[in-house]
Amino acid sequence: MENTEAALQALRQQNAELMEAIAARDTFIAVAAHELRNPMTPIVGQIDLLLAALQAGKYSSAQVEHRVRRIRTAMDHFIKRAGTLLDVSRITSGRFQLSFTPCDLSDLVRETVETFSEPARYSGCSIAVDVPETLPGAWDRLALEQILDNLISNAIKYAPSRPVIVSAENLGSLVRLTVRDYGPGISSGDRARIFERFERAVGPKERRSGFGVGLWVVGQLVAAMEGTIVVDDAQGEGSLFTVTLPRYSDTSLA
Amino acid sequence: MTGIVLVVDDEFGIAELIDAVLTDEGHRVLTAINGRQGLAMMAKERPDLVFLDYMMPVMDGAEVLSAMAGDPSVAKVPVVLMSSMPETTVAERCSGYTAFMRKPFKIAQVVTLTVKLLNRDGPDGQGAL
Repeated sequence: MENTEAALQALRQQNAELMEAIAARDTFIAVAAHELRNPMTPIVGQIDLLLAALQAGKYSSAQVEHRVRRIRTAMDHFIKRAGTLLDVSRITSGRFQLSFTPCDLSDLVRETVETFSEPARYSGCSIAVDVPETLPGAWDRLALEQILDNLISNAIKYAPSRPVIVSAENLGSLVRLTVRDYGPGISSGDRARIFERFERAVGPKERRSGFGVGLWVVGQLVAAMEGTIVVDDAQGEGSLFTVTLPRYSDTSLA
Repeated sequence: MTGIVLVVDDEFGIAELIDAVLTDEGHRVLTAINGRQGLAMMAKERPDLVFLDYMMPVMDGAEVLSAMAGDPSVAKVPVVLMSSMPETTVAERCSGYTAFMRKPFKIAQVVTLTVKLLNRDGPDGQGAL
């Protein structure tokens, strides 16, 4: 009798866990659809705008070029978002693999910051870069780009009208990357959960733009590269994300 | 009729797009990156129409709508709420908006809604849609 009761209890438990997993998957699909619909809007819109202007014959070639460049930027943004979702799916199913190639971390930081010039101007942020002239090593370039991209994108959205500082430092066998903002900061309760899987970190009704997907992926990518990430209250105000990664040399990979 | 249109969206690509479309139509367009900045801009200059994103950091669309409802100086300004989620989901937390525009939208929709909402009848522009 007791055994039956225990078995029933175990089944109930299993059932509850399965229901939770299904709900988590449904939330992921909803978030994924949102994440892809949003960046599709400027692509469709810029093309419509360009077509209408061309039909009316009112755009100069410089204006046409400006619009085409906007479409190009919007496409890049879309591809990045789609890549993040693909990573989520690969990480979840354990099929994620890194690909280490030689690159210069200082160049990568400078290039990534450069892609934020328009969004940073829109949010009134200036992004300062503090990196050594060169910082060679071997990393998964796409993973590094995604990590930086997510952290910088959050900084300019959550801390508008304030400076953002992105730094990289050579620690010998390690490198340290930091993204510091002067925004409202992150409460200690939130600091504990921002790297959690998004559907657990926020209920569907509290979902904010991009919240959760990005930082969870960042945390997973850093862990995959055997690094660490911490977020602190920056002294004074704002938040400070610090990523520490092994610095493999070109030859140590062989 | 042209007017002052405020676009509140954290995505630069979307704010820039609506700005370009409506500037081409002869309106004066202001942009804000989140709800708090949007409300601050409304306090400085009353817009004739607001395009408001639902999901934003710092202060989202639902919070902006309730702040606007409580402020007589902007309570009657028509608001187009925007989201990539369906209206039924968004409506659980939002009330008091005039129209809903699902992302991705067509720019013709932006133009049509703007014309419609800026040319409403009545002394306060509060005529039927």
